[in-house]
Amino acid sequence: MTKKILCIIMTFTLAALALLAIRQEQINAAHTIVENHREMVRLQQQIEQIRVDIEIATSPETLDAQTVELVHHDEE
Amino acid sequence: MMKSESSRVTIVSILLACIVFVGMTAALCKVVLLKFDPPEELQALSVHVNSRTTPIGERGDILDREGRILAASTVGDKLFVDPSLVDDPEELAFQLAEAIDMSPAEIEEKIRLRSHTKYAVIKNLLTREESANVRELKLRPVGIQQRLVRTNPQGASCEKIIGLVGSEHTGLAGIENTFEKDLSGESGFLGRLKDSRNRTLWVSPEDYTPSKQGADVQLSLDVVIQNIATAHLHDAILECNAGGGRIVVVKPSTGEILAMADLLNPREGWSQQPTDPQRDIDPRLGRNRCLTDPYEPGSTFKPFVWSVATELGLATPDEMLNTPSGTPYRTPFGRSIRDAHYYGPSSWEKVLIKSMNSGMAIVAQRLSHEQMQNAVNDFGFGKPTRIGLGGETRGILTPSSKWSDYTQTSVAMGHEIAVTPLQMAQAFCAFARDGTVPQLKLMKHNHGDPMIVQKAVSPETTALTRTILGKVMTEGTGRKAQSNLYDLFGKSGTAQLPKKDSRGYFEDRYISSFIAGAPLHSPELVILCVIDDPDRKIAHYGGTVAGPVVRNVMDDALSYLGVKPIKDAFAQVNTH
Repeated sequence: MTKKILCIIMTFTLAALALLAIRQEQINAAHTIVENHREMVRLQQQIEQIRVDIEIATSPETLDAQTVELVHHDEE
Repeated sequence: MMKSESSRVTIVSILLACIVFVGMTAALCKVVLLKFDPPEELQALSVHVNSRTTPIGERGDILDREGRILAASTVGDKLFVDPSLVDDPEELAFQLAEAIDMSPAEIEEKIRLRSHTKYAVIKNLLTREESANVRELKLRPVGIQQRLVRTNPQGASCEKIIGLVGSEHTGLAGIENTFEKDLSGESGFLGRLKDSRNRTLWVSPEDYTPSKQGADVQLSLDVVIQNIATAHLHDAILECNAGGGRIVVVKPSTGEILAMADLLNPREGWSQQPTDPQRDIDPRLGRNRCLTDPYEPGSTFKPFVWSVATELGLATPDEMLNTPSGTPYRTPFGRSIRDAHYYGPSSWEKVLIKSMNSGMAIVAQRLSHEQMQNAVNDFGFGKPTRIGLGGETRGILTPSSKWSDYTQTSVAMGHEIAVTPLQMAQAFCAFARDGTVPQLKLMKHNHGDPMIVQKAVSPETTALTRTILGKVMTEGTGRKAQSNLYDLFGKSGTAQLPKKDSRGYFEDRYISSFIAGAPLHSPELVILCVIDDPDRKIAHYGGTVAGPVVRNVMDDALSYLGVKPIKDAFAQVNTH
């Protein structure tokens, strides 16, 4: 009888621990997903910013201004 | 022995069960107590466990025909303070002033002004450095909020066409407004369960909706040609001290607008200056006069009447007309028509080459009123081009009920009619094509897209008119605008400036224009330049003021497009 009770208690304990572990894993996974999502969005925004920076640096207006500057520099 | 041991185990088991039960009950009671009546010190530390965020749906990009970014959205940082958490505004202002480029007094004033609220914006857009500095401070009442920023990387030359977005990131003017539906993105939603340390505990699938990015819009504009056109127009306006100027560059084969610029030059002491009060608020809010403000085309309108009269067989190029030798021509109804120069009896071809008003009036009287009105309509005048930008006008055309013999002769010379630069460029495309007028477009034309055209004159008449317009550049009023690299065909126009408040015209103020296409035998571009009210003391004829602008833009743009020069510029320089 005692063995049976101990066996039941042990089984329930193990089951509870397993459930807790699964739950914890779920929480960790949700946290990681959200963090990764945030990082993805942040990197995407960074890429957008870099695209715009490149476009500004290579725009005809900027290049013209730089050419004029270089010509002035050469003349001096 | 066995029995007593068994009963002891039972007692221990029951005791253990009781202890666990009491412990569980106590824990449950504590949970209920914490939930319904938490102690004050814990209340202060408690946080909302549900967090809701709205991921920003970015606005689509506006691109030029080569895929260069004309307008794009990036995410910037906005700095705000929660005044309800601020104990000493002065101290906080000094701390923030070290991190951002603002004076402590200004920051403090902003906090105090909204002291009764929980949100005071300190700076609308932080630089990356400022943002990092503020984050390093880790001040509790200070927050950084993300916001979308619309950037025009190509600078000022395209900004009027692109327009602008408002504080809600919706288009207010220009392309931004026209293509609002396509460009605008949709914000998403993210609801999550979090702990006190802001770590995510749970996200339900129904609590997440991803944001949608707006679609990109690719225009027909070419940034390089736009810059070339703007620069040459700007120089010409300053050179002749004009009130302003407009330029349109069109690819006739597709009707795509490659460049469109409209500049104003505020001059002191000049009456009836072209103005635009909206530009003072923001240049991007100003109207685009290339499609809103009609002007009298003057002699640049003659090729249209010339080609229709020829097409109808009412005059042949070598027919001699009785044009006057020294005095103005008098119409049968008594109107006196002056020419800039009197050449005596001249051929119908010479009438166009030398831009003779008398010859145009003589032949215009052979056309019925209906024929003339049809000609004007067939070339697309009197109706908007419908390129999609707001504020476009249809020009000014005398209604058929009021059309008189006087109107008939006036229209033949480009008077008593007002057209927008876009209409003019569109109509002239007929001579660069096969006599059909293309639908102008501001969106990139992709191979296979249907072309909408309207027939104006036959291909034979078109070829003939183009040849004569080529002679205008070598023997006529366009000589000063002829290129050293390409053969142009074009026409100049010098119309008197109409008075706004009264009937009639200024005697000594003009609208000078020039329109041309090139290369002559396989036209790639059509360019129109209109110079508003150039200083007569410097120059005022269309061929002298606007012609060189068209030529310079044509040379630069065709070279950029890789069109091989027909003439050898170096050889010509050596010959001269």
